[in-house]
Parts: sequence; structure tokens; C-alpha cells
Amino acid sequence: MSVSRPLARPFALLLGASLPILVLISASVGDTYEPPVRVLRAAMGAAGLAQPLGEPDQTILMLRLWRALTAAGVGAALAFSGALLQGLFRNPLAAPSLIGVTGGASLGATVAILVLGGYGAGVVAQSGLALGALLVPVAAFVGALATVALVGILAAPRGRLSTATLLLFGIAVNMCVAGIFAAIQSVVLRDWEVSRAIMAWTFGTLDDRTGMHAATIWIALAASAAAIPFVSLELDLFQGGEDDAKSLGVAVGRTKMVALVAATLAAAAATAVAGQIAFIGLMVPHAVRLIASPRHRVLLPLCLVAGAVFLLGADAGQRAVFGEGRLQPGVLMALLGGPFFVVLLVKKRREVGTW
Amino acid sequence: MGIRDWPAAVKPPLAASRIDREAQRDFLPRLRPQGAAHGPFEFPPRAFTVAPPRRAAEEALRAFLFAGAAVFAIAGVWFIGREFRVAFTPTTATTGSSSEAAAHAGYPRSATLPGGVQFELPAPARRIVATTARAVEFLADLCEPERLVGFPDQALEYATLDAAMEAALAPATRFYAYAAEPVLRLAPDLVVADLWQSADTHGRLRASGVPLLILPELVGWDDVRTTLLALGTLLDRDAIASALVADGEARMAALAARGVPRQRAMVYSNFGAKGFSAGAGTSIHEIMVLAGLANVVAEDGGRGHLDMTFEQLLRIDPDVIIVSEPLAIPAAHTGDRGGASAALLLAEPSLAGLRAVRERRIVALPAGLFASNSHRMVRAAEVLAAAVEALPAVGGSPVGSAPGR
Repeated sequence: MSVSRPLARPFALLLGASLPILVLISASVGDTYEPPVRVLRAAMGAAGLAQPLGEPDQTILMLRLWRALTAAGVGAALAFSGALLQGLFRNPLAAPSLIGVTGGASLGATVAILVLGGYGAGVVAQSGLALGALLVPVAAFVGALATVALVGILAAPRGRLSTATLLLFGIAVNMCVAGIFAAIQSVVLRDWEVSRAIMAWTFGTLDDRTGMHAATIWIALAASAAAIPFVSLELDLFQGGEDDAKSLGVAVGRTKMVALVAATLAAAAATAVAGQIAFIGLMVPHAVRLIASPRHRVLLPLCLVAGAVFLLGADAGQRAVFGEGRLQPGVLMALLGGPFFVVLLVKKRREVGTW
Repeated sequence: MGIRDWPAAVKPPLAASRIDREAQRDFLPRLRPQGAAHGPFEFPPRAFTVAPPRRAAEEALRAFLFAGAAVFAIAGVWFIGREFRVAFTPTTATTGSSSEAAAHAGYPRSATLPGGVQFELPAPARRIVATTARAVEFLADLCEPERLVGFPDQALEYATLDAAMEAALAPATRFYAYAAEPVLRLAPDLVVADLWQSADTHGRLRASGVPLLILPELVGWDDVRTTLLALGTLLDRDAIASALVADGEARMAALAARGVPRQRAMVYSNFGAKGFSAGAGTSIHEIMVLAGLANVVAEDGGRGHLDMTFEQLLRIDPDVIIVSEPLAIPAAHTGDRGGASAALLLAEPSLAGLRAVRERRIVALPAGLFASNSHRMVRAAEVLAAAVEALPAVGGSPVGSAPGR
């Protein structure tokens, strides 16, 4: 097992220091620039520590702050989830979408958008309207968890969870979910407002995030991160193979279950509050492995911070550059992630060839 | 030191071994002892040799496969060539024989559409297929209902027809979506479609000889008037077209003469995924202008359908917010006629400070009127203007709703 690289400590310090600065910068940029001092004052005003700004500035700056906090949480959750799954599957190309998180969340969100669009019985539509915009993230979260639970149940009928079986069932269930998703899209294609809403969700969005979104992602992230002490050493030992890890006393089944639940919770919450944002779970763990360490007790916490910094920085950067004609985060990550994936495959071509 | 720690070079080639075993298993049946005078359980002490292959059968199979592949290749080349011919067939359409066309007085007849687009109809159209809501609206008001023989479901869902017209059009065939097969099955002599619809289907219909009139993008009333008059000419209904134009212009003048203050309005749509609005160049913008409202998004430089974040909404802070009733919710739906967009505006704490939310100045238009871009946009403007006038100045009912189609 490789040891931590010399850059690990400065890298961690740099990430830690840049996170709060990026939150302030992200809240400052938008359709109009607001100095970070005003952002701080708005935050203090909301907390009752200072006089709030006048309206609508107070509300607008708080919306920007919620957006920044949500972006940081989503980036952290996706990177953390990717690192856990790559360790669990012992495969550097593993990502949350493999086990059905993204597909399940998309299906849940789509059903919610249909309900909000008036499809379904009157009582369903009324209940949906009562929940309002909350319905979409809630349904996405439930859809993601339900899909992963289905994959888990199918892959481990007697409680023995095999990673290869999990992977194959993940792919199979993803295909089923994608089929249902496509069928729904096809049926409602003629309702252009509903079609547009479904399509917009698939691009991912950090627009109009509120305290509810930020709270959801950070609570889920805290619960997931609590798994780090229980899996970090075990996942390191996993890299030599499950049998070797077992012979060294690792509780293989429990480790897999804890890692899977933590990864699912983090990715499901991230997808629920921000839609589909791919590739962070793939890119960030690789970067952290290269710069800091492949050891999970270093990798997992650093992925949390690096993922937050990465998505926050990318979102703030694109808003500063593109302004109103901004790219959605899912699109931006796909633009960055596609080439990254190609480079990764080219670099690991020999290793991939032996699979 | 375990096996996984061995250098790669000395690892046993597991995959290769498995392939070897499979190859051996497949090869074994071809191994048999030479000579035939042995019982099934006798094993002669002679060497195994490879049996000669069944050459005749293999050769026949090979020839058959080769012939099949050649036939497929020739058929493929022919098919692709035909597709290219279809795709690049000139767009000028003709129907019927020239003598038949000549029998109809005044045909072929041509008209100029908005943007200077010329269209020639070779013979009177008696079996017309309208493929979009605005085509249905134009044609339903211009010609006799029996001349309209079919429409896609979506066209009727968004069309703003009154009950009598819907009943008159009931015998017409409905089909799921705009595609060549359901259209051609109706044997139309005119298809009226929109530019945004499938170019493949347009090409297929043209290649089949069906006159296809593609309506250009209509930007405002001038384009609507030009289209109405052109359709009137083509369908031999000039007087009705002129009457519809005169009626529309009179109603627009009445709307303009009301002398009500010009309120700052905007469109908003949000089904939980993200918010959208509409700027200049959209049909709802034209409707708002006709209704005497100022579309603040357009005045801010917005064009087309665009994203609308809470932050932008708060900065604009319009007097009136216009939402579309969801297409899927029947007009009789109780209470929330504005659907999800209105419910979200009223429930979202960040938006509580908006003037339109505070004073409940939210208007819901039926989906058909909201999207109307035919001469019926005047009707949509009248409904919108009436709904805005009926809004309470302060407080009031949860959502102001337009009275329907």
C-alpha cells in the first residue's frame, strides 16, 4: 500500500482554507456583483447578529448563500460517494450511477413533476400541490433509495453481498429504470411544459436552492461521513481482495453494507437536491489519490472537501464568465468529465484490457 | 507472499487456460479413432487422428451465406439510394393529373405567406390535415368542418376551440403524433404543418406528392393577418379570411381603447425542476402586449423562453404574474387553477416579498390560450385583460383565474 504523498498536507490545508473563501465568492457573483462584505452582513442579518439588509437584497443574498452551501454539499457528497464506491468495487471507474442512484432519482423526480403537472388522480395532484416544489427532491430521494434497495435485495438474496453481482444487478436495474423513464418522457412529450421541466431536471440545477435544500444535503452528508471510521481501514485492506481482507480479520459483509449505505445516502441526497450531476464522483477521487494519498482514511475526508471546492468553484466560475446564459452544473460537469474519462481510460488502457 | 503479490509475468494465465479448455472441449468430438470395426465400448490401441471435415456441407453453407450477404448488400445499396432520392426530392408538390387540376377553375393558386414564402396549391383542398394547434385554429374558422379530415391529439389539446366547433370536428380522425403514415392514410390533398415539426415527415409527405404548407414562425399580428389572408386565398375563402382579420383588428382596437394603466407583468412557470419565463418573440409576449400589459422580461432584453431564477424574479418584482394552467388538469379542477407554478409562488418563503404574491396578483390562463399563436391570440388577450382587471388591488382570492377558452 502506498503511503501518503508529500503534497498531502499542503493540499489539505489549501482546500480547507479555500472552501469558506469560495462560498463567499460564489455568493458574490451572479446577475449583479455584491461585495463579500455585504454577503457576510446578509448572513449575519439572517442569523440575528446584525441588522438585515433591505429587501430584496437580503433575500437575494441569502438565496445565493443557500446556493453556495448546496453546491458545496452536493460536490462533497458526490465525491465522497464516488470514493467509497471505487473502494468497494475495487474499480477506479465506479460511480454512484452504477448502483442505480441516478436512475432511481430521475424516475422519482419525473413522477413528481408529472404529479405537479396535473397527471394522476385529483387527490394525488392536490397532495402534490400541497408539497409544492419540495415534492421533486423528496421523490428523487425516495426513488434513489428504493432503486438501490432493489439492487441490493436482488444482488444479495441470502445476505451475502457480492460486489460483482451488485454491479451486474445495478446495470440491469438501471436499464429497467431508464426504460420506464424513457416511456414516461415519450408519453408526455406533447405536454411541452412538463417535458421541459423533466428535461431541465436531467441537466441538474443549483438555481433557486433554499435552506431546505442546503439542510437536506448537509444532514445526509454528516450521516454518511460518520461511516469513515468504520470503513476507511477496511477498504484499504479490500484492495488486496476480499479473501485476503477476511483472512486479516475484516468483517467483509458489514464493511460492504456500511460503505454501500453511506455512498447511497450521500449520492441520493445530492441528486435529490441538485438533479443529475455526473463525473464529480469519478474525477475528484482520482485527483485526490494522485495528489494526496490512495489511503481511504486520507482519501475519504479529503474527497469531502475537494468535491465541495470543485463544484463550488466550477459553479462560481461559470456564473462569473457566462452570466445569465449560464451552463447548468450537470452540463458543465459532463463537458469536463467526458474528456477526463477518456484520458483516464487511455492512461489505464493496459489495466482495463485485462478485465 | 500470496499469489496476488506475484509479478504479472509469473501469474498463471487464467483466462488463457479457460479458453484452452473450451477449445479442447469443442475440438474433442472431431477426434475419433481410425477404423470403424469397433463397438461403442471398445477402445482400440491406435493413435487418434483428426477426422476430415465435411467439405461438401461446409462449402454449401458457405455459398449460401455468401449469396445471402450479396443479396443484402445489393438491397441495402438500393434502399439507401431510394432514401437519398426521397430526401432530395424537390419540395414543389403536385397532386392529381394536370387535366384534373385544370378542371378546377382558378387552380393552381398561389399565395404569399409571412417572410415572402410562396406556396402554390395545385387543386382545391377538400381533405385537409392540420397538424398543429394553430393550424387547427386557422382552418376551423376558415373552412367547413368536413374539409378537415384529421389532426394529431396534441393539436386538439392545445387548440382553443369552442364546444360547437369541437362537436363539428368530432368525425375527423385523430392520430397520436405527426408522422407520415397516419397522415397519408387519410389521403389528404393539403397538409398544414409547422416549421418546428419533424423535417423527416415533411420530406416524406412531399415525396409522396401531398401538398404541404409549412406555416412560418409568426411574430405578431401582422404575420397572423398575412397568414389568414393567404389561407383564405388558397382555400377559396377570401371573404371569411377578410372578415376574421377585420374582427380581430376591431377587437384589438377595443382592447387598446380601454385606457387602463399599463401594468408590469411577466410569465412564470415552475414544475419543481426550475423556473422559466418568456421574453420577446414568443406568442405569450404578443398576447400580453395586446392585453395592454408590459412584459418586463422583454423590456429587460429577454428573448424567447428563458430561465428565471428566484433572484431574477425578486429583482424584477412584477405587478402581475401570469401562469399557464397545466394541460393535464381539467378546467373544472377545484381551487388551484394555476397548478404547480401558482402553488409554488404562493408557498415559497423566499418569494413572499414579491408584490404579485403579496397582493395575490397571479393570473392563470388555460394552456391553449397561453400558447395561442393564431388569430385566436386576440381572444387570449381579451381573457387575460379581463382577468387582470378583475384582480384585487390588495389581498383577495388565492389565484385569479381566467374564465376558460
